[in-house]
Parts: sequence; C-alpha cells; structure tokens
Amino acid sequence: MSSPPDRSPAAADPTSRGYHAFEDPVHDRLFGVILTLGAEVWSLRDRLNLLESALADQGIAVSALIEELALDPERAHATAADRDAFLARFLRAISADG
Amino acid sequence: MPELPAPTQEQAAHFDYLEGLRGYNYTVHVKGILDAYERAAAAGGSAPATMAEAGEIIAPSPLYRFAAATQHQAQKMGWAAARRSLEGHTNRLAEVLDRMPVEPLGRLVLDPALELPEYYTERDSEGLDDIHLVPGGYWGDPLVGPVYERGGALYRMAWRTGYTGSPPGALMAFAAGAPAGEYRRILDLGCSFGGLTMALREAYPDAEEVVGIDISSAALRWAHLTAEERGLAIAFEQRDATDTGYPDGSFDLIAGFLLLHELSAETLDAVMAEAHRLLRPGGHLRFLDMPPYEALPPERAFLQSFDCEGNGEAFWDEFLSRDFKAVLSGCGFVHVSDGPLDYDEPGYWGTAALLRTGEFRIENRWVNAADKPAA
Repeated sequence: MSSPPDRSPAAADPTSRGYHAFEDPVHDRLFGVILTLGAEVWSLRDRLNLLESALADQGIAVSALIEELALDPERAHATAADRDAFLARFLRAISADG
Repeated sequence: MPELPAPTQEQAAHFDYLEGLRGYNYTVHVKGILDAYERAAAAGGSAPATMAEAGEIIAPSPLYRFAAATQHQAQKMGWAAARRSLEGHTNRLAEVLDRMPVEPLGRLVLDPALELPEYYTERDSEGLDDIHLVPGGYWGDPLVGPVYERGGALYRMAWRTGYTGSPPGALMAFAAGAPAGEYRRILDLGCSFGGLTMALREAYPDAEEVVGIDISSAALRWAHLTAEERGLAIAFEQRDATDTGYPDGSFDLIAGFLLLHELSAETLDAVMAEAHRLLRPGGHLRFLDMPPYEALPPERAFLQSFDCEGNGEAFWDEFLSRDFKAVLSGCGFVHVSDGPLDYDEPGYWGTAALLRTGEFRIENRWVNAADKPAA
C-alpha cells in the first residue's frame, strides 16, 4: 500500500501545536488575520450595497450623490485629514519604534 | 431539522465570503497546483509513480502552501462563524434541544455512563487538532448539533439550503444500493447526526427497525430531533460500535458513512469484529467512505492526504493506506468488494478538503461491501 507522504513545510517547528502550512507558524497566523479582514471587508461592502439599494428603493439616489461628493474639492481637504489619521492609527504598530 | 435562527446580514455575508473563499481556493489554487504538477511531471520525463513522489513536486510550491493555509483557515473560520451566529440564541436552542417529541415515532436512548474513548476526547493533550477542527469536537458542546448543521452546510458550500435536512443524493443512492433482500433490522454504525440513518429509513420503509448508534449524545439528540421533524421512525442509541451490547445476529444490514477513516487501526478491527457478530448469517455490510490512496492518481492522493494534519483527521493516513478488504476478509466476511459509488451529483464539491475541484467525483464515494456467510 502507499506510504504517507511528507506534507510538512521544510523548516516546520516540531514543537508548535496544531497544523501550519508555512515554515514559520507566525505566517499562518498572519494569513489568518488577512483572511479575517477579508471577511470583514466583504461584510461592509455587502452592507453598503444593501444600504444603497434600500435608499434607492425609497427614491433616494444616494449612489450618484456619493460619486459627486467623492470628487468635491471642498470635501477633499477634510477627507485627506481623516485618511492621514486613519493611516497613522493603522500603521502605528510598524512606525512606533521609529 | 429544527429551525435555526436566521443569521444577521453580517453573519450571512461572512458565510457567503467563506463559501466564495473556498470556491476560489478549489477552482483557482487547487486547479493551479494540478496544472503546475502536470507541467513539472512532463518536464521531468516520467510521471511520479507514488503519492510521496508527487508530494515532492507539489508540497514545496508556494501555491500549495497558500491553498493548504486557506483551506485550514477557512475551516476554522467556518466553525467559528457558525457558532457565533447561534450565540445570541443559546437559551432558545437549549429549549429546542430539551423539548423531546411527546409522541415520538422513533426513540432516543442516551447512556450517561458510557465511557468515551480517549482518542475522541483527549486530542488536545496529544497535540492534535479536534476532528474536522470543530472546537471541542463532536461531544463537548451541547450545541454541536446546530453548529454542525450550519457549519457542515457551509463546508458543503450550501449554507443557504441546509445540511442534514436535505441529505445528499449520494447517501440515498448508497443506502438503496444494498443487494436485493429482506432487511428487517438495519443498523447505522457511528451515525453522528443521522444523515445515513435517515436515508436508510427512507430506502427501506418496510424495515421493522432502523437503528443509529454513536458515542456522542449531542449528535444523537440532534439526529433524533431532525428525524422526528421529518416523520422518520428511527431509534438513536448512544453505544460504542466496538462493544454495542446487542445480541448476536441482531441485524440484517449494517452500514456506515464516513466512519472508517475516523478510527485507529485497532478500533477499526474491533468495530469490524463487532459488526460481524451483530450481522445475522447471510446479512450484508456496507460502508461509504474515502477511497484508498492507491485508487487515486498520485497527485490526487497527495492532495487528499492534506486532511490528516490540515483537517484534524488523525487516522486518515492510516486508514487510506490500509488494505481494508483484507481486514474484512480477516474478520470472516465474504464477497468482499470495493469501488466507486455509481452516482453523479451536479454541483457537488466533494468532501476531502483539497480534492474539491468540482470535477472529480469519487473522493467520498467509495463503497466497501461484504456479506456474512450464510449459516
């Protein structure tokens, strides 16, 4: 009969518990974070789409309004400040040590 | 099945995402792995003859690593999402689980004194993931029935249509596929949530009794509620398949679905010896499970083997590498046979985690059958 093959990553740490697909189990955890973020992003997109559809059903053409506002130069300044604050929070873990 | 609480938009979006993630993994990543393998094998001159050789080509590739990681993570995320979608309803679900039918068609017999085997309950202490990565396994969480109903449907890529409430056609084909004969008493070994047991009841409506046994009380409770809801008279009893306590020759037909690969060689031998004792002379035995590695092309066998570590299947390699027909013959069964189930199901994704390309049909459609010699 067939003998079981070697499925382990080359430098797998034999002391780590549970399955990991990459050599460093930390990469498995990081990949898990990415996939979880994907679920959250999809959930938000889905909800936004539903919200726009619900408003359109009520006669509020919010989708076209959003497109207009996105290009409004008066909003650009405030949006940029929001974006910079978001990036600072989001990347703090990397930038904190200088 | 008892009705589950409707998920919120956020929960439904997570379920959809996980189904989409898995579908992408199978149709793009796994297909890409197989395409790259074919190119590598062609470039190497001669095709690998064994799954170990095929694994030497496939396992180091980044695409395989990501496909394996995606499958493993999606499985864990699926159970967690299923559990989370029920958490706001635990009181109501506990009531549903406690509310036994007043005039049941079948019966539920639990045995609180039954000792569960260590390989089933002590996996963490062995450094093993829980079976199928279900947190707490199939025995520790009283809500495992509803969790499995939702998470299993998610695994089947059919969360919107349910799981045990609408058993796959393959189960019906398998249940009804026993040789022509009179089956008065039928036993489903390791019935878990009763998918095959219900298919057997439907396939043999004139049978005197259809019995499903399992060691998980939570699974049996859910199976019982589902069967009663569907109007099917079935006896679900908490018993260990290695030592059931039934008299010799109690059953005319004994069957099992996806049980064999969950058992160590030692336990499997004990279950087969017990099945031989329980069958009446001339009775029929049949199992639907995974095909042995040697029945698959080497690269498919390698992908099928992912489940061992990647999906908490501790005995997968052991069973799929074993000559199960010899085990049955050794127990005294005759007319021992195996082969793919003659059944096709459009839209079926399969069960073996990384062998789900939607175009390969035998991965959990392998029938082992045998007879007990007539007296």
